[in-house]
Amino acid sequence: MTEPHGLERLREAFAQPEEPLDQDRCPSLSDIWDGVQGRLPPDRLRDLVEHVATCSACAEAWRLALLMERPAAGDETVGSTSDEALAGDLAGDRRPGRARWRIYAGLATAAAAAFAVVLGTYDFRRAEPPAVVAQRGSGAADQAAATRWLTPGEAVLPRGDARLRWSGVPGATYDLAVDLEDESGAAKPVPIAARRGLAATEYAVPAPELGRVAAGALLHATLTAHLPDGRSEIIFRDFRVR
Amino acid sequence: MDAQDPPPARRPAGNGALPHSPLTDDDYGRLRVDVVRVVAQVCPGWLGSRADDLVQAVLIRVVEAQRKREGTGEFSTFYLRKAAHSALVDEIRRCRRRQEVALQSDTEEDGPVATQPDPERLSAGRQLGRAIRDCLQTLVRPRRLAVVLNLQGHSVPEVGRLLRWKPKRAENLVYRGLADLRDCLERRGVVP
Repeated sequence: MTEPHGLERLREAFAQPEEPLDQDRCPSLSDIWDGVQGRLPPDRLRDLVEHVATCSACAEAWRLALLMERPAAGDETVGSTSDEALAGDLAGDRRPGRARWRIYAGLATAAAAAFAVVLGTYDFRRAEPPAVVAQRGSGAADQAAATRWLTPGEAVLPRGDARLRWSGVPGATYDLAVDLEDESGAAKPVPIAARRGLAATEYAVPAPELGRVAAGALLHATLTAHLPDGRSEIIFRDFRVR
Repeated sequence: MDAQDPPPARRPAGNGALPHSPLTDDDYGRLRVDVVRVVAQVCPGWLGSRADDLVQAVLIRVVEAQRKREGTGEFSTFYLRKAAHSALVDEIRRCRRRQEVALQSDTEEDGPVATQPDPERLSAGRQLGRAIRDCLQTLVRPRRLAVVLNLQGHSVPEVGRLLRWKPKRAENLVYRGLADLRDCLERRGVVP
């Protein structure tokens, strides 16, 4: 099963063992097992995942529990570890029941694999995916990408002229979505503005659409560039308004 | 016990009021197959020569755990697998500690040099792993939780199920979190 190369590398590095932290703070293996099984209350599970973020020993224990629960490779009902399964989930039944989900995931994976391998992306937002999509970050490694943000990261823009700028290749068109993020995570993102088919390489979010956005609130822009050669790219930018 | 031979099926508890079906030879056989598979997947090179021993040790511990609970009627396939997981984690940690001691002692007790990890590669991987952990702390909490589970091997739908988020929310948090993570790594001059 092929993952986007960058994700594979991140996973490999994240799995590297580290010097153990204070193991008195580590959750029990029983809790880790129950966490992977989805048997812990949400708050407890989130605390446990927070710990896993910092403790390589517990992260390894978590991965082992996950592997124990995964069917062997080649099993026709394999539960995909990859994000290719996303396509299946979005299209499929979400009722609880691992076996049922595995069947859907397995079927979806087969269909999604070729698609996601070529795309190497998480972009399943659009109803009709573009021919090729490359997900990009927004930093230095972006220099090879055709589309780049000119608006700096975490920029604070005036509410009356919240203008996002980017550069791109001639003939490209752009879809832009701006969402209000809840930094505490209590609420899901709220769509603020969305424009499709932009030809210009800038867009000022209209002040009325920012009416419900508090000063300093975190906004997240997703820009999809449709390049003349048929490929597409997605770049992201966080910003705030005064 | 020979690791090839699963132990005999567990006798049902006297009152027959088991919360789960009694374990059978098949349950143990499947467990062994799964432990062998997991060990093969996770075994680093330096541990490769000990994979069989590791499987054997895990299965012995599972059988011991089962004996301790004999008659309680609680040793279902769920507990069987849970016990195997616990034993496997302990055994791998024990092997790792031995390996570290061996490396510090500059001995070749754990195998030929060719099977030892390449120090440069190990160091680079650890450096990136450390940077990832640092960068994760800069993410807003929901994105951090989503990314950690994704890095651990969970698919996006699984992330949503575990954290009780709708699929769309899980999708957004995973890929925005990954974008944040990559940005942070790039700012630090670490490119995966």
